[in-house]
Amino acid sequence: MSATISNLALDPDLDSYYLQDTLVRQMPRLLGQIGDIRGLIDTSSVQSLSSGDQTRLFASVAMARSTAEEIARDLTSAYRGDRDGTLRRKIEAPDGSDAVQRDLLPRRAR
Amino acid sequence: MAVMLSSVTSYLGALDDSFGNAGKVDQDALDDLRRSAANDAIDAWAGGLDALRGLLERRIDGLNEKLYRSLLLTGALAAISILLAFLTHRHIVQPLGRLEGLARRVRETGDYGHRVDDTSKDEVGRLAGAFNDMLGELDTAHKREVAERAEQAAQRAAVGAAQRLAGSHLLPVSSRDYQPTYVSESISGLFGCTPREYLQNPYLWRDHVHPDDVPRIAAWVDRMFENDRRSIEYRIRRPDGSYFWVDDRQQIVRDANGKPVEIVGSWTDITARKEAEETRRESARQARPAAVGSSRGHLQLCGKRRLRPHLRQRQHREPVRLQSRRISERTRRSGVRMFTRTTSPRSRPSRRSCSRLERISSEYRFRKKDGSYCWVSDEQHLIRDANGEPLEVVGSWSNIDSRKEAEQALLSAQRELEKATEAALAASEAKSAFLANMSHEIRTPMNAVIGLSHLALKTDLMPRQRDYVVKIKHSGQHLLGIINDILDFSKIEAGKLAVENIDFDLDKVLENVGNLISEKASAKGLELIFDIEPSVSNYFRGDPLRLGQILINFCNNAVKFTEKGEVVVKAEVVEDRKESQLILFSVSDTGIGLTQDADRASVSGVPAGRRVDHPQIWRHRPWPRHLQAAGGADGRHHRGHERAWQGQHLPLHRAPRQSRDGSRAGAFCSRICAARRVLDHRRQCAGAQRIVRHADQFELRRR
Repeated sequence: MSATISNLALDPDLDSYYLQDTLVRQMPRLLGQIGDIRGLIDTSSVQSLSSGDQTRLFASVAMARSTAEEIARDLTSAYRGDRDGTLRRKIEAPDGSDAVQRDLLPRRAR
Repeated sequence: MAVMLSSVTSYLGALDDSFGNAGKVDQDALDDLRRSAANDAIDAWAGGLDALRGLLERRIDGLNEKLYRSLLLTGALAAISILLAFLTHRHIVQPLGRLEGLARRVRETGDYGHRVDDTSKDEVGRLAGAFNDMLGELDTAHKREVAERAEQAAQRAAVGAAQRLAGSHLLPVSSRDYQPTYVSESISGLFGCTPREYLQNPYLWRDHVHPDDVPRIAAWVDRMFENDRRSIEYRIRRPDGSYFWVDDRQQIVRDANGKPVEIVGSWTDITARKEAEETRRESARQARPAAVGSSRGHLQLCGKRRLRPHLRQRQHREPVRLQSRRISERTRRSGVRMFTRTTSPRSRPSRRSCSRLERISSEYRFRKKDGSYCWVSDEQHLIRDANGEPLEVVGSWSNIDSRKEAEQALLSAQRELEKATEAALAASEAKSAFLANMSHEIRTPMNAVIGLSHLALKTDLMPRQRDYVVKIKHSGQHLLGIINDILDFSKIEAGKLAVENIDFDLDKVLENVGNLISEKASAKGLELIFDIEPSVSNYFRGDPLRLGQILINFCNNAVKFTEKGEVVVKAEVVEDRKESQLILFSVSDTGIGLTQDADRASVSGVPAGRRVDHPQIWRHRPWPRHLQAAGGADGRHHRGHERAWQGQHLPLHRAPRQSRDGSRAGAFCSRICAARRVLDHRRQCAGAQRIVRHADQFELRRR
């Protein structure tokens, strides 16, 4: 809603657009999915869950992984729009993105 | 952000591992990983927000810098534009405006002598120089064009004058050496040649001129320059050999010095006009002898446009000169003046009325030389040509004083006659009114004479005295009847005769007639027969008294002038309708009647004629007015071959009562041959039983 009101959802610049998309849409979704996972396995073990809860748990884990991958792609696109590298320097440490790419993409390939 | 992603990935990887190792999950390690991932995510989110803010601030700064630069650039461009506009206005717009104003002035004034005052060396200066050169050339061309137009206008004026002159079909324009320079296309219709052929042989027309007209044309050509406008009519031969009339008109066009420069001529086909003139002359030749041969004054009015008398001949004056051109102009004008001065405007014949009617006539008065007036009858006849077009009006005056005097005498005699008629009618009405009012006074002593004589007869009288008293009584009754008739006549004339409209029984009327007449008939030994058709209704609505009077009058006449034989009263239906019947009542006798002439003379109601065997006795027919009052149509009273007959048609309306069936008597007298014939006829018509009843009633035996 805030992105729509501030017109950042229609920002023609790549860096600011993907950054606000990560902050406003993807990261709240990722936190919500982590919260869902915690709610399912907080009180009992995975094997003690019912079949329906297990299904929801697996789905939530898959969706959280997908969201993390989406965040990684948005950041990559944002960095591509930031030609002087200022954004990358301010957001993460050196080679952080490479770490993300290294950790996430191989798992996705599997 | 990379740390957050790494933590989340580790947490999710731990979860995947826990799914594969059932019962060996380290719940605390998962919680640590989850907590770490959540904290890292929050930190990354906060850091991302800072990064986004910084990114946006940097972008705003860039935009502000761009705006500032744009403002500077815009100001610089505006200053440059103002400078350029100033320079353009000073060096281009103002000189062009001056050029435009000059062009407008040239257009409005038509004066090409204006010039632009601009001596600069730039493009505008060169443009002004070119404009000045153009104006100079236009000025020269305009002057040349004006001169050419003036020349063409002069030519057109000359040609137009020639065309107006003749409505030309041909328009040759000759140059100064008299060689034609132009000829119209219509030359082919005249000479059968093309304009080019005519220009190559300009004297072609001379070969087509009628030989009789050549000397006249030659003389006309010799006097070419005597008048600027001339015309001559002559004949030209067509290609088929026939001749037609043309009107050759020429006009000389001169220059400012009066020197002839051109001759504009035209030929106009006037054959139709010539034929009309010939027809008119022929009509005039036919009309004049009739007018001249009469004793009436003669006035010939000619032409469609002018009412101009060609000839005026006084009454009883010898018609010496008939042709209008031989009458002096003074005489002709005096005729017109006299005609228009001495007649009232209403009585003057107008050209419109002359052309609309074939013949008009009017009567009015002329003032003579001595100042007195005489009545004249003016008759005018319209003469038309072969095409029906009005050509000539031939009129005549005649003195009608004697007829007017006779008419006046007749009018005065008619007025006197009308006065005498009115006086006679008034006297007659007074007499009728007097008699109608005196009826009571006249009848009263007569009734006394008759009544007292009747009483005297009932006393003892000597035979001689009785004879005297009987004659007094009969004469009194007869005189009373005459007086009653006269009084009725007077009532009719005075309009006081009242006709009743009541229901009555026809049989009773006939019975009353029979009672009154039978005594006289039997005294003379006559048979009185009533022959009534069964189809005659019994009951009618009308005046029984007047009907009885008519029949009694018929019967009295019949009995009076019949010495022997019979008197037959007959009623027959002529027209039977639901509401009424038209009945013919007739009385025939075996006496002598009136001749046809005497009968016609009796229609007026006066004594009609004498019986041939009673020269002192007048026989009266029923009064026509009496019959009219009773609704009668017409009477008949004539002598047939054997019997005298008098009859009357009377329309009678049926009464609402039902008629009786066959009770009417066929005859009143018995043992008479005529009555037998009547009853036989009725038997054939109505049936035997009714005849038997009639025979029983009248003691007749069936044959």
